[in-house]
Parts: sequence; structure tokens; C-alpha cells
Amino acid sequence: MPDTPTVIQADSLTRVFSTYRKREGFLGSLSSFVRRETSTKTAVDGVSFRIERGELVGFLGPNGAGKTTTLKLLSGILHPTSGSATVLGHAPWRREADFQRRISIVMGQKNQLWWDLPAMDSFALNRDIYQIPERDFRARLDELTALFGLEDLTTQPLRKLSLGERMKCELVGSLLHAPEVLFLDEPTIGLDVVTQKRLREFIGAYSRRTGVTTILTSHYMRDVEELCKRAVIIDHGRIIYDGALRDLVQKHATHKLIEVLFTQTVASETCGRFGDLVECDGMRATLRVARDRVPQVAASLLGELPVADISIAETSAEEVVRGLFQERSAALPEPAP
Amino acid sequence: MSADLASARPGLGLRKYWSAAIFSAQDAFAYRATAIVWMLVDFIPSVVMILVWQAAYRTQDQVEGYSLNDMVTYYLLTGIIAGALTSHAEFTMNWEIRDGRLTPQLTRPISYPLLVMCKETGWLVAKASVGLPIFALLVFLFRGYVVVPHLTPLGWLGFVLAFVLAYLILSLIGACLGCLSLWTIESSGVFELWWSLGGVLSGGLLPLELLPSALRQVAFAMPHRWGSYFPVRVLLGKVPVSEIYEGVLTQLGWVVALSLILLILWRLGTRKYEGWGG
Repeated sequence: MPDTPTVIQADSLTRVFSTYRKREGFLGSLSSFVRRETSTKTAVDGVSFRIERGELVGFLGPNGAGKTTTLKLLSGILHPTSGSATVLGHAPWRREADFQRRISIVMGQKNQLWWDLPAMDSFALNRDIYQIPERDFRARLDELTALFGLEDLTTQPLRKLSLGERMKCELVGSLLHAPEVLFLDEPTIGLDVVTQKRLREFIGAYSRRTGVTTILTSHYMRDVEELCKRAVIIDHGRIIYDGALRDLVQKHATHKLIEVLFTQTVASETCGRFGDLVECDGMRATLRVARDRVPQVAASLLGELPVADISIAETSAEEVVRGLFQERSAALPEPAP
Repeated sequence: MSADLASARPGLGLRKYWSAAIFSAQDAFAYRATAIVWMLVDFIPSVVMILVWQAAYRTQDQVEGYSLNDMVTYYLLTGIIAGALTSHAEFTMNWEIRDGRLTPQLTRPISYPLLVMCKETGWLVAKASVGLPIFALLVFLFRGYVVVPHLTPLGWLGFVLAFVLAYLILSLIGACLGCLSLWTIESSGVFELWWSLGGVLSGGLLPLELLPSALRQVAFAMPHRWGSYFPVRVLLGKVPVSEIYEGVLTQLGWVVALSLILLILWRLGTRKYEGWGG
């Protein structure tokens, strides 16, 4: 296989699902038993992008946006309705063994390891499925269990581990064959914030060390902000942004945040005159101000109020993305009843 | 430890399937009580039928060439052999497809139906190991009736072949039925219907010679009788050696046909699969 920089390429990738509709209640069940109404839903709608070797790209979007379906198409789980894609030079849905040995997928909501057996047994099964030479298997296992701090946990039945520990085991199991492409589908879902952070650190450290090409889907902005230089934002099956998160903020953030610290108490009504009041406790206030009015408002605040300190910050990426989704939802027509 | 047994695995690309069977057997041994219950479920109909036939033979010595001793031995052998051979890959596949657990499996370099069949084999090994003591106890209880098999070496070889091929036929049927869930999502009703009919057509309820002629013809056209029924009849000495090998060839034909059907169902079904459940 030539060592081309483009590892993943999608061209007008589309997937339509057909679903059954059922009216509510017992009579609705009865009538749908006799005659079923079907409808279609376009989960991925003409998506195109390229991902280069070693990139760690975050796919962001609300539930049902099409992130996971895109991942399923690229990992060969689903056949597309139309369009094409190549991953490592293969059409994923052909499910060729050579392709499957070079990729891995971790799904935050699906266990791949054996529930009642220690993770070590599932790892040994993966060794045989991916035909990993024993020496490589041992070396990678030692490295990964040390990286994830799992040394004492792999011999306990999986069901006895916490959700965070299980997810780490899932990650170890999926990395043993040293995949060239890694698909991570909501790996931090359901985890507490501390475990989420640790998992992100592990993913980041592994990615830097091995240069594995990774697509990460998440609806936690933090995952993408901390790990990915590039974000692909999907909504209603379409890509609405593809680029650096920082550029997104600069391009789409219409406001900035001005935080002011006062030397004496100031009423919130007074602060509210200078911009949209985000919060105010008398001694401290945060205002949301249109970008072009920031210098003028900052000067007014300094001139008219007893200001001890003032700082100006960009709107958070999360807020920008949320605003983007809200704008699109408002612009889209209401679905047919 | 599993790793010890798995290290004795065969070569080529079959290693993964061997390991899956070993780990599955370990998993099943963790649920010994369930294995015992399943084996009892397989023996209960046999014991009930023995009691019914004991009453029926009070007025006659032979029924279609079967003596009471033949009949008791037939049901005891059917209990242990059917129990050791009948996997339920279809229920596992149905559950994993409906639950979306199939989804990540499709990205691995392994045949999923074959993986499930191997996992079920692990369960069968565990089930048979708890079934043998139950079988020994029943043989002891009915010791006055049990016919000891008298087979030539060729007959024994034929039995072993018939047993292995019967296992493959039943596993492949299970996997083919399991593929239906790729279309219907929930197929357990179809499975129940298939196996209920199978209870009659496989000789589990009655030796097939005792069925009404029309039903017997249906049974002879279906694959069920090449499951436990054929090896049981071989062991009972009811099949001449030449016919044993004809039967083995027919079983082989069914294995090939069912493998092709499975391949087609799997290819078509996974094209349609929608990866439910996130």
C-alpha cells in the first residue's frame, strides 16, 4: 500500500435509513401490526472530507447529527446509500481482512470485551483474531497497561470494574494490534469529569507517541478542544464547519466577554447599561459585548465605574458551536407531521 | 487459566476460533447452574417419553421394530446427544443484533457467524460435561432396559463422523436462523416455531418410523433428521454400515448447502444492517 498522506477520504457520502412509524397507544400498535407505515431519514447527507496521516480530528454535533453514522460508514459497519469513501486505500464496507487488521473502533456505549471474564482473556482473544506475534503482544500489553495504570485490573472479571476502568480496558484491547486508524465513538460518555480528563490525557499521549490517525466523535466540546487541532461539525447529516476550532471562534464569535472587578459595590442595573449581563455579584461582573463595541464599552466602564481590574476574553468554543446549532435549527423548516 | 488452554491452539487462521471456543467454555463454567438447568431441560422430555412407553409396552413387545429396551435406550441417547449437539446460535445472534453488539464485531477480521458457532461450542462442552453424570445416573436407574451398543470399528468411525457432521448441521441451521434477525430485528418467534417443528421432525418426540407416513416424508426431506437422530440410530445398531456412510455423505451435502445458504444470508443481511442502538 503506498504511503499516501491522505488516509481517509469521503466523497458525497450519504446514508439513508428507513424506519417504521407507529401511532401512539394500543390501537396504534394494532393498526401498525396490520399495516406498517415507513419513512426514511437521511442520517448522513453528502459528506465530503479528507484526513491526513497522523491527524486527530474531532467530529462534533448534537445527538442524531450523523457523527456515529459517518464513523460506521468509514469503519465498514454500514454500506453507504450513495457516495464513496476510502480508508487506507480500501472501500471500508468490503470488510477486507487486510483493512480490518489496520483499523480499530471503540464505542463508548458498546462493550467489546468479554463481560464475565478478565480483560486479559479478551486481550488474548484479540491477539489471535489480529494474529499478533506473541512478543509484540506482550510488549504492547505491558506498555499500554502501564500507560493506563491497569496492571492489577486485567485479571479481574470485567463486570467487577468501574465504567472508567472498563473503558480503559476497551481502549487497551483496541490498540493491541497497533492500528493505523482509530475510530473513537464517544469514548468519554457517561464518565465523571475526572475520569474523562484522564482518558483524554491517555488518548492524547498515545496519539502523540504513535502518530495514529484518529477520528473522535463526541458531544463534549472539552474532548475536542483538548485533543484535536481540527474539528468537523456535523448537523442534520451535513458538515457545517471543517477547520481549526480557534478559527471557528474568531470567524463566528460575534461577541466577547468583559470581566470587571470593582473597588466598591455596583448595582447590577448599572452594569447592565454597558452590555448583556452574564453575571454580577456587586463586586464582580461579566458582560457580553458585540466585538466592534468592545473598546468603546471598556473605555466607558473605566471612566464611569470604580474599576479595580478589567479583562477581555473570547466567547468559549462551546458557546460558539451552540449558537451555530441554534441558528441552523431556527433556519431549518419544521419537519412534516 | 485460559491462556494455558488457548496456548494449545491449532495453527493457520483457525486459532482465533479455537480460542473463542475455549474462552466461551470458561465463561460457561462460570455459570454451572445454568448449564445444569439446560441439560435437565434436554433430559426431561426423554424421561417423560420413557415412562409413557413403559405403559404402552404392557400390551405389546415390538413397535415398528423397536423393543421397550430399544425405546428406553433411544430416548436416553437422544437426551445426551441432542443436548450435546444442539447449540442456539440463533438466540445469541438475535440478541447481539437487536442490542447493537454486532456493530463493533463487523470491524474485526473474523467471521461473526463462525465466531458465534465457536462460542456456542464452548457452551456445549460445558453442558455435555454436566450432562454426562446425569446421563450416567439415568442409565443406572434404567439399567434393566439399556441396550449396550455393539458396533464394529467401521461402525464406531461412522458414528463419530455422523456425530461431528450432525453438530455442524445443527450449528449452521442456528446461524442461518440467526441471520434472519438482520432483517426482522426480533426473530425469536420464528426460532421457537422452527425448533417446535424440529422436536417432531428430528425424532426428539418419537422415532421417525413411528410418524404418520405423510409427516415421515416431510421429516425425511428436512435437515432435522441428520441432527441427533442419525447418530443415535447408528449407536443403536439400527443402521447397516454401508448405510451409515451413505448417511454421512448426505450429512456432508447438507453441511455444504447450509454453508452456502449462511454465506448468502450473511452477505445480504449485513448489507441491510443498520447498526441499531447507537
